[in-house]
Amino acid sequence: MKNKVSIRALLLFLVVILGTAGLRAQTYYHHDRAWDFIMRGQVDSARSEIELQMKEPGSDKDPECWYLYGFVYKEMYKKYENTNTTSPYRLVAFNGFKTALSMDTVSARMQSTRDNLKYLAGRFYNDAVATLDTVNHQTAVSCYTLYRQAAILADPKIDIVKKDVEFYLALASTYNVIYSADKRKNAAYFDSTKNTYTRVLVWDPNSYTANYNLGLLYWNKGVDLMYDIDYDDSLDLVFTVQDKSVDLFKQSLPFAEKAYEMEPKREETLTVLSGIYYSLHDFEKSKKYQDMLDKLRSQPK
Amino acid sequence: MKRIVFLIVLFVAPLAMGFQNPPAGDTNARIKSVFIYNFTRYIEWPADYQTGNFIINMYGNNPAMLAELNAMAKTKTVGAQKIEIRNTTTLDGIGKSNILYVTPDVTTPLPDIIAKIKGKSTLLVTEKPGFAKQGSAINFIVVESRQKFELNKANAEKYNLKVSAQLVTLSIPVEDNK
Repeated sequence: MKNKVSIRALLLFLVVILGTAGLRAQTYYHHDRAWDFIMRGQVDSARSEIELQMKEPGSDKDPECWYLYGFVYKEMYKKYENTNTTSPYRLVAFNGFKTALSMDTVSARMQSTRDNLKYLAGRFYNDAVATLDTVNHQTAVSCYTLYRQAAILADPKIDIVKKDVEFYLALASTYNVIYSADKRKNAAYFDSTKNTYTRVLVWDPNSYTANYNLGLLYWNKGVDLMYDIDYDDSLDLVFTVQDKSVDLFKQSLPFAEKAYEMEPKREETLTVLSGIYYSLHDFEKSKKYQDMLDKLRSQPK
Repeated sequence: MKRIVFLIVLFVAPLAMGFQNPPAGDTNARIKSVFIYNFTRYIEWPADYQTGNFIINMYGNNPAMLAELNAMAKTKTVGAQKIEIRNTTTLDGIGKSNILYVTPDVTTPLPDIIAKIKGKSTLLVTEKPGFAKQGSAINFIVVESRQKFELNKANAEKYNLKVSAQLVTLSIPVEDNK
Protein backbone atom coordinates (compact mmCIF):
# COMPACT_ATOMS: atom_id res chain seq x y z
CA MET A 1 0.00 0.00 0.00
CA LYS A 2 2.80 2.35 0.96
CA ASN A 3 4.70 1.49 -2.24
CA LYS A 4 1.58 2.14 -4.34
CA VAL A 5 1.24 5.58 -2.80
CA SER A 6 4.92 6.34 -3.42
CA ILE A 7 4.74 5.27 -7.05
CA ARG A 8 1.56 7.27 -7.53
CA ALA A 9 3.23 10.33 -6.01
CA LEU A 10 6.30 9.91 -8.18
CA LEU A 11 4.17 9.57 -11.31
CA LEU A 12 2.24 12.66 -10.35
CA PHE A 13 5.49 14.55 -9.79
CA LEU A 14 6.85 13.47 -13.16
CA VAL A 15 3.64 14.44 -14.88
CA VAL A 16 3.81 17.87 -13.31
CA ILE A 17 7.49 18.37 -14.05
CA LEU A 18 7.38 17.09 -17.60
CA GLY A 19 4.12 18.89 -18.23
CA THR A 20 5.56 22.17 -17.01
CA ALA A 21 8.72 21.66 -19.02
CA GLY A 22 6.70 20.81 -22.09
CA LEU A 23 4.50 23.82 -21.59
CA ARG A 24 7.58 26.03 -21.21
CA ALA A 25 9.13 24.46 -24.32
CA GLN A 26 5.96 25.11 -26.21
CA THR A 27 5.38 28.68 -24.92
CA TYR A 28 9.00 29.87 -25.02
CA TYR A 29 10.28 27.79 -27.90
CA HIS A 30 11.06 30.75 -30.19
CA HIS A 31 12.07 32.90 -27.25
CA ASP A 32 14.73 30.44 -26.18
CA ARG A 33 15.94 29.94 -29.71
CA ALA A 34 16.21 33.71 -30.08
CA TRP A 35 18.42 33.83 -26.98
CA ASP A 36 20.61 31.06 -28.37
CA PHE A 37 21.07 32.95 -31.61
CA ILE A 38 21.86 36.14 -29.74
CA MET A 39 24.50 34.32 -27.69
CA ARG A 40 26.06 33.07 -30.91
CA GLY A 41 25.93 36.54 -32.45
CA GLN A 42 23.37 35.54 -35.08
CA VAL A 43 21.20 38.61 -34.76
CA ASP A 44 19.09 38.13 -37.87
CA SER A 45 18.06 34.63 -36.85
CA ALA A 46 17.33 35.89 -33.36
CA ARG A 47 15.07 38.52 -34.88
CA SER A 48 13.11 35.90 -36.89
CA GLU A 49 12.63 33.81 -33.77
CA ILE A 50 11.52 36.65 -31.52
CA GLU A 51 9.08 37.84 -34.17
CA LEU A 52 7.59 34.33 -34.22
CA GLN A 53 7.54 34.34 -30.45
CA MET A 54 5.60 37.58 -30.32
CA LYS A 55 2.87 35.95 -32.42
CA GLU A 56 2.38 33.28 -29.79
CA PRO A 57 -0.68 33.79 -27.57
CA GLY A 58 0.17 35.59 -24.37
CA SER A 59 3.55 36.92 -25.53
CA ASP A 60 2.21 40.45 -25.83
CA LYS A 61 1.53 40.39 -22.10
CA ASP A 62 4.80 38.78 -21.14
CA PRO A 63 7.56 41.17 -19.98
CA GLU A 64 10.20 38.52 -20.65
CA CYS A 65 9.20 38.37 -24.31
CA TRP A 66 9.13 42.14 -24.58
CA TYR A 67 12.50 42.40 -22.91
CA LEU A 68 14.06 40.00 -25.40
CA TYR A 69 12.22 41.70 -28.24
CA GLY A 70 13.82 44.98 -27.23
CA PHE A 71 17.17 43.36 -26.78
CA VAL A 72 17.18 41.68 -30.19
CA TYR A 73 16.26 44.91 -31.90
CA LYS A 74 18.90 46.78 -29.95
CA GLU A 75 21.43 44.31 -31.36
CA MET A 76 19.96 44.83 -34.84
CA TYR A 77 20.44 48.56 -34.39
CA LYS A 78 24.04 48.09 -33.28
CA LYS A 79 24.79 45.84 -36.23
CA TYR A 80 23.01 47.64 -39.05
CA GLU A 81 21.95 51.15 -38.08
CA ASN A 82 24.60 52.24 -35.64
CA THR A 83 25.14 55.52 -37.44
CA ASN A 84 21.54 56.06 -38.55
CA THR A 85 20.13 58.94 -36.51
CA THR A 86 16.59 57.93 -37.45
CA SER A 87 17.15 54.21 -36.92
CA PRO A 88 13.84 52.27 -37.02
CA TYR A 89 15.47 49.31 -35.20
CA ARG A 90 16.43 51.54 -32.30
CA LEU A 91 12.88 52.80 -32.06
CA VAL A 92 11.51 49.25 -32.01
CA ALA A 93 14.05 48.34 -29.32
CA PHE A 94 13.02 51.34 -27.25
CA ASN A 95 9.34 50.45 -27.48
CA GLY A 96 10.14 46.83 -26.56
CA PHE A 97 12.00 47.82 -23.42
CA LYS A 98 9.40 50.43 -22.55
CA THR A 99 6.59 47.86 -22.82
CA ALA A 100 8.60 45.30 -20.81
CA LEU A 101 9.20 47.79 -18.03
CA SER A 102 5.55 48.82 -17.92
CA MET A 103 4.40 45.28 -17.08
CA ASP A 104 7.39 43.77 -15.30
CA THR A 105 7.62 42.83 -11.63
CA VAL A 106 10.92 40.92 -11.66
CA SER A 107 13.40 43.36 -10.19
CA ALA A 108 16.53 41.85 -11.76
CA ARG A 109 15.05 41.99 -15.24
CA MET A 110 13.66 45.46 -14.62
CA GLN A 111 17.15 46.64 -13.74
CA SER A 112 18.52 45.10 -16.92
CA THR A 113 15.74 46.77 -18.91
CA ARG A 114 16.66 50.11 -17.35
CA ASP A 115 20.31 49.55 -18.20
CA ASN A 116 19.33 48.95 -21.81
CA LEU A 117 17.12 52.02 -21.82
CA LYS A 118 20.05 54.00 -20.43
CA TYR A 119 22.17 52.78 -23.31
CA LEU A 120 19.51 53.81 -25.84
CA ALA A 121 19.04 57.15 -24.08
CA GLY A 122 22.75 57.81 -24.52
CA ARG A 123 22.53 57.06 -28.22
CA PHE A 124 19.43 59.21 -28.68
CA TYR A 125 21.17 62.07 -26.88
CA ASN A 126 24.35 61.81 -28.93
CA ASP A 127 22.32 61.86 -32.13
CA ALA A 128 20.28 64.82 -30.87
CA VAL A 129 23.52 66.74 -30.35
CA ALA A 130 25.07 65.56 -33.61
CA THR A 131 22.06 66.63 -35.68
CA LEU A 132 21.43 69.94 -33.95
CA ASP A 133 22.28 72.14 -36.89
CA THR A 134 20.47 74.38 -39.34
CA VAL A 135 19.62 71.47 -41.64
CA ASN A 136 18.83 68.54 -39.35
CA HIS A 137 17.30 70.27 -36.33
CA GLN A 138 13.98 68.42 -36.68
CA THR A 139 15.81 65.12 -36.30
CA ALA A 140 17.57 66.57 -33.29
CA VAL A 141 14.25 67.42 -31.65
CA SER A 142 12.90 63.90 -32.36
CA CYS A 143 16.04 62.31 -30.94
CA TYR A 144 15.96 64.53 -27.88
CA THR A 145 12.29 63.74 -27.24
CA LEU A 146 13.14 60.03 -27.33
CA TYR A 147 16.20 60.61 -25.16
CA ARG A 148 14.02 62.34 -22.61
CA GLN A 149 11.52 59.46 -22.47
CA ALA A 150 14.24 56.80 -22.32
CA ALA A 151 16.29 58.66 -19.72
CA ILE A 152 13.32 59.10 -17.37
CA LEU A 153 12.36 55.44 -17.70
CA ALA A 154 15.96 54.40 -17.09
CA ASP A 155 16.33 56.64 -14.08
CA PRO A 156 13.18 58.25 -12.71
CA LYS A 157 15.32 60.41 -10.42
CA ILE A 158 17.29 62.01 -13.25
CA ASP A 159 17.43 65.84 -13.30
CA ILE A 160 15.89 66.02 -16.74
CA VAL A 161 15.11 69.74 -16.50
CA LYS A 162 18.83 70.50 -16.53
CA LYS A 163 19.18 68.57 -19.77
CA ASP A 164 16.03 70.22 -21.18
CA VAL A 165 17.48 73.64 -20.52
CA GLU A 166 20.79 72.76 -22.16
CA PHE A 167 19.20 71.24 -25.23
CA TYR A 168 16.55 73.89 -25.81
CA LEU A 169 19.06 76.71 -25.36
CA ALA A 170 21.13 75.13 -28.10
CA LEU A 171 18.01 74.61 -30.21
CA ALA A 172 16.99 78.26 -29.80
CA SER A 173 20.48 79.28 -30.85
CA THR A 174 20.17 77.09 -33.95
CA TYR A 175 16.79 78.62 -34.82
CA ASN A 176 18.30 82.06 -34.43
CA VAL A 177 21.15 81.22 -36.80
CA ILE A 178 18.58 80.19 -39.41
CA TYR A 179 16.52 83.34 -38.79
CA SER A 180 19.54 85.63 -38.91
CA ALA A 181 20.81 84.11 -42.16
CA ASP A 182 17.78 85.43 -44.05
CA LYS A 183 15.33 87.32 -41.87
CA ARG A 184 12.71 87.78 -44.59
CA LYS A 185 12.75 84.26 -45.96
CA ASN A 186 13.06 82.65 -42.54
CA ALA A 187 10.76 85.03 -40.67
CA ALA A 188 8.95 82.13 -38.97
CA TYR A 189 12.15 81.25 -37.15
CA PHE A 190 11.89 84.47 -35.15
CA ASP A 191 8.90 82.96 -33.36
CA SER A 192 10.64 79.58 -33.11
CA THR A 193 13.60 81.25 -31.43
CA LYS A 194 11.42 83.38 -29.16
CA ASN A 195 9.18 80.47 -28.16
CA THR A 196 12.10 78.19 -27.43
CA TYR A 197 13.84 80.73 -25.18
CA THR A 198 10.51 81.40 -23.48
CA ARG A 199 10.12 77.66 -22.90
CA VAL A 200 13.56 77.54 -21.30
CA LEU A 201 12.62 80.40 -18.99
CA VAL A 202 9.59 78.44 -17.78
CA TRP A 203 11.97 75.70 -16.66
CA ASP A 204 14.69 78.02 -15.49
CA PRO A 205 13.70 81.68 -15.03
CA ASN A 206 17.29 82.41 -13.98
CA SER A 207 18.90 81.26 -17.19
CA TYR A 208 21.30 84.07 -18.08
CA THR A 209 21.64 82.81 -21.64
CA ALA A 210 17.88 82.72 -22.26
CA ASN A 211 17.27 86.13 -20.68
CA TYR A 212 20.16 87.79 -22.49
CA ASN A 213 19.34 86.26 -25.87
CA LEU A 214 15.62 86.91 -25.62
CA GLY A 215 16.28 90.55 -24.75
CA LEU A 216 18.65 90.82 -27.66
CA LEU A 217 16.24 89.04 -30.00
CA TYR A 218 13.50 91.59 -29.35
CA TRP A 219 15.92 94.51 -29.59
CA ASN A 220 17.36 93.23 -32.86
CA LYS A 221 13.88 92.79 -34.28
CA GLY A 222 12.96 96.36 -33.35
CA VAL A 223 16.12 97.66 -35.01
CA ASP A 224 15.47 95.56 -38.10
CA LEU A 225 11.98 97.02 -38.44
CA MET A 226 13.42 100.52 -38.35
CA TYR A 227 15.96 99.67 -41.01
CA ASP A 228 13.30 98.02 -43.17
CA ILE A 229 11.61 101.40 -43.54
CA ASP A 230 11.94 102.65 -47.07
CA TYR A 231 12.65 106.35 -47.51
CA ASP A 232 9.62 106.53 -49.79
CA ASP A 233 7.28 105.08 -47.19
CA SER A 234 4.58 107.47 -46.02
CA LEU A 235 5.07 109.18 -42.68
CA ASP A 236 1.94 107.41 -41.43
CA LEU A 237 3.62 104.10 -42.08
CA VAL A 238 6.87 105.32 -40.55
CA PHE A 239 5.04 106.19 -37.34
CA THR A 240 3.33 102.81 -37.30
CA VAL A 241 6.61 100.97 -37.74
CA GLN A 242 8.19 103.11 -35.06
CA ASP A 243 5.38 102.11 -32.66
CA LYS A 244 6.06 98.45 -33.35
CA SER A 245 9.79 98.94 -32.86
CA VAL A 246 9.32 100.75 -29.58
CA ASP A 247 7.03 97.95 -28.38
CA LEU A 248 9.79 95.46 -29.18
CA PHE A 249 12.40 97.58 -27.39
CA LYS A 250 10.14 97.66 -24.35
CA GLN A 251 9.65 93.91 -24.55
CA SER A 252 13.39 93.40 -24.65
CA LEU A 253 14.05 95.45 -21.53
CA PRO A 254 12.89 93.10 -18.72
CA PHE A 255 14.98 90.25 -20.13
CA ALA A 256 18.06 92.43 -20.54
CA GLU A 257 17.60 93.83 -17.02
CA LYS A 258 17.23 90.32 -15.62
CA ALA A 259 20.43 89.30 -17.39
CA TYR A 260 22.13 92.36 -15.89
CA GLU A 261 20.92 91.45 -12.39
CA MET A 262 22.46 88.04 -12.83
CA GLU A 263 25.71 89.11 -14.51
CA PRO A 264 26.31 92.81 -13.83
CA LYS A 265 29.97 92.60 -14.82
CA ARG A 266 29.49 91.16 -18.27
CA GLU A 267 30.34 93.55 -21.09
CA GLU A 268 27.67 92.25 -23.44
CA THR A 269 24.91 92.78 -20.85
CA LEU A 270 25.94 96.39 -20.36
CA THR A 271 26.23 96.91 -24.12
CA VAL A 272 22.73 95.61 -24.68
CA LEU A 273 21.14 97.59 -21.85
CA SER A 274 22.83 100.79 -22.97
CA GLY A 275 21.69 100.12 -26.52
CA ILE A 276 18.08 99.37 -25.63
CA TYR A 277 17.76 102.50 -23.51
CA TYR A 278 19.33 104.50 -26.34
CA SER A 279 16.76 103.09 -28.76
CA LEU A 280 14.07 104.12 -26.29
CA HIS A 281 15.54 107.64 -26.22
CA ASP A 282 16.32 107.30 -22.53
CA PHE A 283 19.78 108.78 -22.94
CA GLU A 284 20.40 109.18 -19.23
CA LYS A 285 20.05 105.48 -18.53
CA SER A 286 21.84 104.61 -21.74
CA LYS A 287 24.80 106.70 -20.61
CA LYS A 288 24.74 105.15 -17.15
CA TYR A 289 25.26 101.66 -18.58
CA GLN A 290 27.73 102.91 -21.17
CA ASP A 291 29.78 104.52 -18.38
CA MET A 292 29.71 101.26 -16.45
CA LEU A 293 30.84 99.46 -19.58
CA ASP A 294 33.68 101.92 -20.16
CA LYS A 295 34.78 101.56 -16.54
CA LEU A 296 34.69 97.79 -16.81
CA ARG A 297 36.74 97.85 -19.99
CA SER A 298 39.32 100.17 -18.44
CA GLN A 299 39.97 97.78 -15.57
CA PRO A 300 42.97 95.50 -15.92
CA LYS A 301 41.94 91.97 -16.80
CA MET B 1 16.39 35.04 -17.40
CA LYS B 2 19.66 34.97 -19.25
CA ARG B 3 22.05 37.76 -18.60
CA ILE B 4 24.04 39.37 -21.28
CA VAL B 5 26.71 41.81 -20.41
CA PHE B 6 26.74 44.89 -22.58
CA LEU B 7 28.61 48.10 -22.65
CA ILE B 8 26.72 51.24 -21.90
CA VAL B 9 27.93 54.13 -23.98
CA LEU B 10 26.73 57.47 -22.70
CA PHE B 11 28.77 60.31 -24.05
CA VAL B 12 28.14 63.75 -22.73
CA ALA B 13 28.33 65.63 -25.97
CA PRO B 14 28.79 69.39 -25.75
CA LEU B 15 25.97 71.69 -26.80
CA ALA B 16 26.59 75.14 -28.21
CA MET B 17 24.20 77.64 -26.64
CA GLY B 18 25.38 80.72 -28.52
CA PHE B 19 25.14 84.42 -27.83
CA GLN B 20 23.68 86.81 -30.35
CA ASN B 21 25.43 89.97 -31.43
CA PRO B 22 24.03 93.42 -30.74
CA PRO B 23 22.53 95.08 -33.80
CA ALA B 24 24.53 97.47 -35.92
CA GLY B 25 23.16 100.91 -36.67
CA ASP B 26 21.52 103.73 -34.79
CA THR B 27 17.74 103.64 -34.91
CA ASN B 28 17.41 107.21 -33.67
CA ALA B 29 19.61 108.48 -36.47
CA ARG B 30 17.83 106.26 -38.93
CA ILE B 31 14.35 107.56 -38.16
CA LYS B 32 15.46 111.20 -38.17
CA SER B 33 17.07 110.64 -41.53
CA VAL B 34 13.81 109.12 -42.83
CA PHE B 35 11.93 112.13 -41.46
CA ILE B 36 14.33 114.58 -43.09
CA TYR B 37 13.87 112.88 -46.44
CA ASN B 38 10.11 112.99 -45.97
CA PHE B 39 10.25 116.74 -45.28
CA THR B 40 11.50 117.16 -48.84
CA ARG B 41 8.28 115.54 -50.07
CA TYR B 42 5.93 117.73 -48.05
CA ILE B 43 7.73 121.07 -48.34
CA GLU B 44 8.22 123.07 -51.49
CA TRP B 45 11.29 125.25 -52.01
CA PRO B 46 11.32 128.28 -54.26
CA ALA B 47 12.41 127.75 -57.86
CA ASP B 48 15.99 128.92 -57.34
CA TYR B 49 16.42 126.21 -54.72
CA GLN B 50 15.16 123.54 -57.09
CA THR B 51 18.22 123.58 -59.31
CA GLY B 52 21.63 122.12 -58.68
CA ASN B 53 22.16 119.75 -55.81
CA PHE B 54 19.69 119.55 -52.95
CA ILE B 55 21.96 120.45 -50.05
CA ILE B 56 21.45 119.11 -46.57
CA ASN B 57 23.90 120.64 -44.16
CA MET B 58 24.41 119.09 -40.76
CA TYR B 59 25.74 121.55 -38.21
CA GLY B 60 27.28 119.69 -35.32
CA ASN B 61 28.90 116.42 -34.49
CA ASN B 62 26.89 113.24 -34.90
CA PRO B 63 28.72 110.56 -36.89
CA ALA B 64 25.77 108.15 -36.84
CA MET B 65 23.44 110.79 -38.25
CA LEU B 66 25.99 111.81 -40.84
CA ALA B 67 26.35 108.19 -41.91
CA GLU B 68 22.58 107.81 -42.24
CA LEU B 69 22.25 111.00 -44.26
CA ASN B 70 25.05 109.93 -46.56
CA ALA B 71 23.42 106.52 -47.01
CA MET B 72 20.18 108.24 -47.90
CA ALA B 73 21.91 110.58 -50.38
CA LYS B 74 23.40 107.61 -52.19
CA THR B 75 20.02 106.19 -53.14
CA LYS B 76 17.55 109.05 -53.12
CA THR B 77 16.98 112.30 -54.98
CA VAL B 78 14.66 115.24 -54.48
CA GLY B 79 12.84 115.41 -57.76
CA ALA B 80 15.64 115.76 -60.27
CA GLN B 81 18.06 117.11 -57.67
CA LYS B 82 20.87 114.99 -56.39
CA ILE B 83 21.17 115.09 -52.60
CA GLU B 84 24.43 116.49 -51.27
CA ILE B 85 25.30 116.09 -47.62
CA ARG B 86 27.55 118.63 -45.94
CA ASN B 87 28.79 118.75 -42.40
CA THR B 88 30.13 121.69 -40.48
CA THR B 89 31.07 122.21 -36.89
CA THR B 90 31.40 125.98 -37.11
CA LEU B 91 28.87 128.71 -37.57
CA ASP B 92 30.82 130.05 -40.52
CA GLY B 93 30.42 126.69 -42.23
CA ILE B 94 26.72 127.33 -42.69
CA GLY B 95 26.31 128.31 -46.29
CA LYS B 96 23.44 128.04 -48.72
CA SER B 97 21.50 124.87 -48.16
CA ASN B 98 17.99 123.54 -48.56
CA ILE B 99 17.98 122.02 -45.10
CA LEU B 100 20.10 122.95 -42.12
CA TYR B 101 19.96 120.31 -39.44
CA VAL B 102 21.47 121.42 -36.14
CA THR B 103 22.49 118.58 -33.85
CA PRO B 104 21.74 118.83 -30.12
CA ASP B 105 25.40 119.09 -29.13
CA VAL B 106 25.71 122.51 -30.81
CA THR B 107 26.01 125.28 -28.22
CA THR B 108 25.75 128.23 -30.60
CA PRO B 109 22.76 130.37 -29.60
CA LEU B 110 19.79 129.79 -31.88
CA PRO B 111 19.48 133.49 -32.87
CA ASP B 112 23.05 133.37 -34.21
CA ILE B 113 22.18 130.37 -36.35
CA ILE B 114 18.99 132.02 -37.55
CA ALA B 115 20.96 135.13 -38.46
CA LYS B 116 23.18 132.98 -40.67
CA ILE B 117 20.27 131.76 -42.79
CA LYS B 118 18.38 135.02 -42.88
CA GLY B 119 17.15 135.79 -46.38
CA LYS B 120 17.70 132.26 -47.55
CA SER B 121 15.16 129.51 -48.20
CA THR B 122 16.60 127.08 -45.72
CA LEU B 123 14.49 124.70 -43.69
CA LEU B 124 15.89 124.92 -40.19
CA VAL B 125 15.64 121.63 -38.34
CA THR B 126 16.70 121.55 -34.70
CA GLU B 127 16.61 119.13 -31.82
CA LYS B 128 16.27 120.98 -28.54
CA PRO B 129 13.22 121.53 -26.36
CA GLY B 130 11.51 124.83 -27.13
CA PHE B 131 13.40 125.63 -30.33
CA ALA B 132 10.29 125.44 -32.53
CA LYS B 133 8.91 128.33 -30.55
CA GLN B 134 12.15 130.24 -30.79
CA GLY B 135 12.69 130.28 -34.52
CA SER B 136 13.24 126.88 -36.04
CA ALA B 137 10.74 125.44 -38.51
CA ILE B 138 11.01 121.86 -37.39
CA ASN B 139 12.22 120.59 -34.04
CA PHE B 140 12.76 116.91 -33.24
CA ILE B 141 11.34 115.85 -29.90
CA VAL B 142 10.76 112.57 -28.10
CA VAL B 143 7.26 111.68 -26.93
CA GLU B 144 6.75 108.43 -25.01
CA SER B 145 9.98 106.92 -26.32
CA ARG B 146 9.03 107.82 -29.89
CA GLN B 147 10.71 110.25 -32.23
CA LYS B 148 8.29 113.01 -33.24
CA PHE B 149 8.70 116.46 -34.68
CA GLU B 150 7.23 119.83 -33.92
CA LEU B 151 6.39 122.05 -36.85
CA ASN B 152 6.18 125.80 -36.72
CA LYS B 153 4.57 126.53 -40.07
CA ALA B 154 4.93 130.26 -39.69
CA ASN B 155 8.67 129.91 -39.15
CA ALA B 156 8.96 127.82 -42.32
CA GLU B 157 6.99 130.35 -44.32
CA LYS B 158 9.33 133.13 -43.20
CA TYR B 159 11.90 131.41 -45.41
CA ASN B 160 9.58 131.25 -48.37
CA LEU B 161 8.91 127.56 -47.90
CA LYS B 162 5.48 126.06 -48.64
CA VAL B 163 4.42 123.45 -46.13
CA SER B 164 1.77 120.94 -47.12
CA ALA B 165 -1.29 120.54 -44.91
CA GLN B 166 -0.52 116.85 -44.64
CA LEU B 167 2.82 117.51 -42.93
CA VAL B 168 1.05 119.77 -40.45
CA THR B 169 -1.35 116.93 -39.68
CA LEU B 170 1.51 114.51 -39.08
CA SER B 171 3.45 116.93 -36.90
CA ILE B 172 3.01 118.43 -33.49
CA PRO B 173 2.07 121.96 -34.53
CA VAL B 174 3.76 124.76 -32.64
CA GLU B 175 3.37 128.53 -32.77
CA ASP B 176 5.86 131.20 -31.85
CA ASN B 177 6.11 132.49 -28.33
CA LYS B 178 3.88 135.55 -28.20
